[in-house]
Amino acid sequence: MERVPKNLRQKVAKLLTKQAHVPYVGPIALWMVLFVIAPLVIILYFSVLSTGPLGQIISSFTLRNYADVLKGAYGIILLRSLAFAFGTNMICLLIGYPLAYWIVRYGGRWKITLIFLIIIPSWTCYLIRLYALKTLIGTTGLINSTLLSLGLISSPLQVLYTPFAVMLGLVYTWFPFMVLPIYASLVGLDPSLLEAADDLGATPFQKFFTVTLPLTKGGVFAGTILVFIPALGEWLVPLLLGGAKVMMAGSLVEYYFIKVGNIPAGSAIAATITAIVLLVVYLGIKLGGQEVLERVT
Amino acid sequence: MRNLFILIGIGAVVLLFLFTSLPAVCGSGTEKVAYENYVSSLPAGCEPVPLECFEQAMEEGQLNMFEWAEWWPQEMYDGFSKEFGIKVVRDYFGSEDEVIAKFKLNPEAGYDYVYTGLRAAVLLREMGALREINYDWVPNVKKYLPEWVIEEGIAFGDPGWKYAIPYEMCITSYCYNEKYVDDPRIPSWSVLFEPDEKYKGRITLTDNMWEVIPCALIYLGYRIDTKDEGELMEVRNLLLRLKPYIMAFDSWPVRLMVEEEAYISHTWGGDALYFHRQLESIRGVLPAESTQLAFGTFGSAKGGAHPAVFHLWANYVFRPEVNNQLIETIGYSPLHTGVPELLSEEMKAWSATVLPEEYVEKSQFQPPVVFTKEIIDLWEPIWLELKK
Repeated sequence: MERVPKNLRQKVAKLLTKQAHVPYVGPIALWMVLFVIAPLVIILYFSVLSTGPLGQIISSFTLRNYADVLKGAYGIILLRSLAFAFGTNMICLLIGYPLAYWIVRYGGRWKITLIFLIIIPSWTCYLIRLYALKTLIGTTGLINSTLLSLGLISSPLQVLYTPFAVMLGLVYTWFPFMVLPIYASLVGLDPSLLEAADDLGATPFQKFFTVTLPLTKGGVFAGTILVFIPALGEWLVPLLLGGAKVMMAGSLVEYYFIKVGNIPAGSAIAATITAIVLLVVYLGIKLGGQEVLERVT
Repeated sequence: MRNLFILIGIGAVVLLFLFTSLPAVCGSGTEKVAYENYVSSLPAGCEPVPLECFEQAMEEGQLNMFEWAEWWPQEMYDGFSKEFGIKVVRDYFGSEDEVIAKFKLNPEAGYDYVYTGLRAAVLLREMGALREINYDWVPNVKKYLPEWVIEEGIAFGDPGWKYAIPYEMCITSYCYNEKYVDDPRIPSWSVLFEPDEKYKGRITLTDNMWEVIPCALIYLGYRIDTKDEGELMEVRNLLLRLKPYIMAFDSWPVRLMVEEEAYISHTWGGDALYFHRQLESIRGVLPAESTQLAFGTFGSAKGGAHPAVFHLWANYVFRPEVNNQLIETIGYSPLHTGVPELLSEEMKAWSATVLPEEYVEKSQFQPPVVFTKEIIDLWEPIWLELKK
């Protein structure tokens, strides 16, 4: 008779312990369901619908929208987006890693201030920052005006509305998101490991590639996720700095959703981009990212 | 734990506040107006809405609008709100494409007033998203809309404009900065489509295939609704030759023109006037070969809950002095027969305001077929090739 209430007590206690997570996990779970899963389901739903002669959505199942994507109708644009996202990631990494390393190693008491200076621009609205960049690199912008007045160039440099401007905008926008995780992983690096490498006669080159980099690849991986994913789906940068001449995957989604009004086609492209992103993250995790993420978290 | 709940509570209150205060409310209801006072205070030349419409509008008390941001003069909304004590709630879009996308996703969207343009008017009507207009409730529209415009409704599949009221005529054109452009071919389309080498990288095109492709077709001497593959191939080749000269695809290149980064811009007549008002050396043209015409229209969505207020508003928009104020601001060609005599000298002198009758005749209105899949399937590959 005694064992039953005891079991019940244990079960209730266990249940309560489990439910204790609800206030912590509940809001973020709700957020994910409402703003990540639900929109994805809606996009998937629209992506398999047909359109009528006036572009109106018709509730009949079709895979034609996906067939168009797979046939390579937008191949160049999707490939260009991948190239831009990869390029942005690499540039952010190649500039961001040495910068974060330098701040951690030689920043001293200015460390926080220097990191703060990298973060500050992201406090300003994304749109305003892009407009500011536009003002700087335009043909009558500050850079061209200065170079012209100094006599260094005879005619304005055509920077704005070129693929270079798009890349510049992408790097400028997403750079802090690469630096911060790398900085965090470098700060967490145990200096005694580097001292041990020194004692064992490692050259600076060996020390970096056998100790520092492997132990901070968590930051690189996190930074890559934070930069690659938004850069791949970018829409505003190619619009403002590419003059809508340099189409990326995000521009293609906007083109079908808004300009052509073919919402199922736009949904299929959006779903394909999401699948590419998930595949990249999955491969990243499979190729060693899991261990790295566990270490970071 | 208690702190967590307090934080969640504060968050919920903030979200509730944001959601309830998001719509831009530009006028709030005041005291209701008596019909007799309304009729007696009407300016000369204005007709009142019938008593039935007026009383229903006073009951409804609110106008939910879906329209362009910062285009029509604010004084119009304020004047309407003040005169009738009706609350005006405005929701904005950035392009006609957005209107169409919105109603495709939700044909029951609850707007009493929607700016429809011509393409949206056709598509929304076909989707069954527009409410039929009761012309007995808009006597000013009946009085001032010219006969030829009413007849044009047939061409758009809407005889008598039952679902959208045209209020202005818009020409697609181009503008140039006379400080930098001295091409003797002005006002031919060739200045834009086959530009001089010195304007390389200084030209903008509207980011809109429904404007660029028809203008190219007109320049080449073809009909807008052509399905001839050879003619469309010529358009493709023309646009691809033009591509290196294009600085940007921008439907609102005001900054580029005013800051003198772009010298020639494909744009609409009224927008060109806006640019000219910012920088005097910007000039608009009436393209020599003719051009594409469209009507600016507005209608009432089926999902709107205040149809009588919509009619009161439409009747108000067609008061001569209100319509003139509107035309003076937006710079397009008026359709209201009472407005031309009220126009300022600036407007009368502007190329795209008072269009000669023969010019309208030789130009082409966008036929509804160009909004269908049949034509889109022909245009889309050209547009994508140009942009990618």
